[in-house]
Amino acid sequence: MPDFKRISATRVVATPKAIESADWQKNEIVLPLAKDEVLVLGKVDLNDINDPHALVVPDSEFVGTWVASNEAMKLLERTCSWKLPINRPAFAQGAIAEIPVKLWFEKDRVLILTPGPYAIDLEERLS
Amino acid sequence: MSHFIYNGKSIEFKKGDSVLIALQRDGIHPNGGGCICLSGDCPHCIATVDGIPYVRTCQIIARKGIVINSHPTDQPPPVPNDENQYKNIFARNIHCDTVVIGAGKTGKSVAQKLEKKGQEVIMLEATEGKEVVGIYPGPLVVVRTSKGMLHVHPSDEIIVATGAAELHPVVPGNDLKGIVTSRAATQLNEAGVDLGRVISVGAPPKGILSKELEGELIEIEGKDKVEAIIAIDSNGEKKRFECDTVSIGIGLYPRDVLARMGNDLPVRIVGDAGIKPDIPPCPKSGIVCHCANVTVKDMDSVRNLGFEELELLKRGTLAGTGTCQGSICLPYIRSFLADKGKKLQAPFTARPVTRQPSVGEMAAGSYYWSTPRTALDGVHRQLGAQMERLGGWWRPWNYGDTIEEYRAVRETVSLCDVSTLGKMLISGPDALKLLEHLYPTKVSTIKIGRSRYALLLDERGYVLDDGMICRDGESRFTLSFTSGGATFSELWVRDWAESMNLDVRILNQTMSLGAINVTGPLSMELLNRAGLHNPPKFLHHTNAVVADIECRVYRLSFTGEKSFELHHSAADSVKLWNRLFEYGKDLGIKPHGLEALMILRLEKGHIVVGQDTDFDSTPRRINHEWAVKLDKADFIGKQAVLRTNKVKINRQLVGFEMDGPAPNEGTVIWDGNNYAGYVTSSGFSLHLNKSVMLGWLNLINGELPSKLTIDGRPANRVKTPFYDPEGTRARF
Repeated sequence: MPDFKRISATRVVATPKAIESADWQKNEIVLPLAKDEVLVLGKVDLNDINDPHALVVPDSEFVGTWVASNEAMKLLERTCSWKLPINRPAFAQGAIAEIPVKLWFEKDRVLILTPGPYAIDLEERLS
Repeated sequence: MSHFIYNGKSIEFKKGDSVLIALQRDGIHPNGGGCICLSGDCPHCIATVDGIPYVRTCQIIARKGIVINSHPTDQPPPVPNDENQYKNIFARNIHCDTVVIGAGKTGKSVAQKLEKKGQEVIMLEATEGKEVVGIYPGPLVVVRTSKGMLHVHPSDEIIVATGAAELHPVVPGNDLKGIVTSRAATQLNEAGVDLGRVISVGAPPKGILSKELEGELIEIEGKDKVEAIIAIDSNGEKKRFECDTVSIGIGLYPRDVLARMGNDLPVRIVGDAGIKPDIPPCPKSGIVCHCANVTVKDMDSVRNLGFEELELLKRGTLAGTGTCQGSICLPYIRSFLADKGKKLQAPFTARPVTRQPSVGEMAAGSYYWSTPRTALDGVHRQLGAQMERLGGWWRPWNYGDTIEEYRAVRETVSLCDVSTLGKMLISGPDALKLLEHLYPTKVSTIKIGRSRYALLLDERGYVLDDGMICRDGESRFTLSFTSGGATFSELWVRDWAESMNLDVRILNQTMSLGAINVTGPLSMELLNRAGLHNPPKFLHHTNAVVADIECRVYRLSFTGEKSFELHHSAADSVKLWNRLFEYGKDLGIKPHGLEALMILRLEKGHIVVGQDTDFDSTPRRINHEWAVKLDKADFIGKQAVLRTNKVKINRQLVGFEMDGPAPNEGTVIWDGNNYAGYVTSSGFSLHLNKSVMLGWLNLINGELPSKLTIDGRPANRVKTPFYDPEGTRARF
């Protein structure tokens, strides 16, 4: 059963240009939620974003868990009706088991994120 | 030899036998009679298999220990009291380019060609344990297997290579044991089933010595099993032929139900599934639809009532609505209607499912709508809260004693989890322009650090939602929305920002921030203990550390008492809640749920959008004209408000009070014998010791009536707020 833990992240909303041009290299994982919005697992320096009106705020919306690739694919096979990305690393977002999730695929593991308010239901549905 | 159990009896089977073949070898017909096809087309071999009813035993490979029970012949199968029926069945999702349904020669050939072209092909064959039960938009092919359901998602096309079914006979006696289709006769013979003396009608079975009938079959005779057939020869003479088995080879009908189901989807029919059907002669007598036990006589009587269209005859007789979904009866219904003067009508509409899956199988891969929980959900449950789905969230309705919760707010201090409120950050050069367009209040006059209550109107001037506008900077704002309206409001704000091509940044923080309302006359004392020594003034907000947790503190009031909303990281909600409780122990602190909150806000006359408002509630109708600044250049709904203000108002949301218990919300309001409106919010005010209400009241002769009857008792229309009309308790 996946054990979801609150993720300490930073939410950045800025112009698409500023998002594109930011140097994300120093950040571990950067999830592009929309063309003007990213979720960074870690901290972000406001000065790194070339947009004076950017919203850069600590974010604790998501809970998440790392799952070994094989196990994750088994879980997703029965809960996800849309086609998952094949390349690694890759990011995908949508509903699994009718619950909104963000998925970060690495070679050997997958990070499953869901908004905290859905954590209990998602845990139950993935069990 | 291995064994399975049939109606409590041990049945031997050979490797590779279907259940039906093993039963036939033992002289058993699972339905007691009816033509057997061995192809999964007809309903004559259905039984309950391992607790699952309506399973075609001809499609199930016999295995050791499997338990088969026949269905009762005169009623539907009982709902099994068996956990198999209810166990959680998963659906496995598979993606491919093409799905081929049917692994016969044609299906295999098409699949091979596609694979050579580099396509990823999935073949589904019922006899190999992959039984397609339906095709849905998507497209989605739903498959039943012994290990659960498969949901196959082809990106290219679905190829139906299901072949053709054999026509069954419709004559008196067609429900006897010993009738088989020509192909089934061959298969049974090959499997070593003793068929006895065989008479073949039409095309004879392969590999069997049979007497070929010359003439027209008009009846099959026998008590339980076939003993003879009656035929009319070319001279018109009736003849009787004794036999043990009747083999039927009278034509083919395309097995195209899945293709018809996939109408408008990328479905292609290949092979015999697309042949021109053999339409049999009009049946004169006998059972046409075995699933619903519909005879030719039944069809005649319904047609005579005027049901001459195929779809109507189906509904009138129920022929074609049973377990085989018309596979057997459809050719005969078509020929019946064609013979009665109607041209040959198209087959009736095919809809999923083609089989009878269990509830678990149907539910596989489906999930109910998830109701989100705040970070304090576990705390509420530990405190014994009665949790309800309210405003789209799980929320505490009460903690066991609503009166105590109410008193804590009015007399000491109380906490309420308001994390569910919509919370949105907006910044950017055009932020003010956007908000001035969205809201009917003058947003530019809100000073930095101040907040204002605002309505959100649509283009027709109707109230969509309400909430607070909090100014954080020159071009940065925090907006709040109702719990139930937050999602729509976000779409509304984003849509307008995009369609106006405005340079703004929008961030929905509803789920990332928790919010706790600290309310009551001792709320300041509590916050002082928690380290907030300079709380903001009424309708101000500030950043502060409360109980060692970073908060954004908003001073406003929904309860009518001094109130502070503490917005904070959802990760800190439990810590903050618990620490505030510690600090407030000796102050008599209690949590309050929605039940208490609803009466607290009602005493203050505060509306709840969606409960007290209708789809056509204007600010004037809800007495909120003060929240609309018509001297603003423009805002969404302004023109509609200006126009409707010229029309005489016909109803208004007003306050009522009366003695005795509170009537139900929705109770009709009477002016004498005339309907005058209805109650939208109702509760018993402990402060006033009477019932207080909000409700819609019709104007009669241009005036609002004052003396009314609600719930059979006299009620008075009164001004709101009912409690602390000067608002001193919340402000100072």
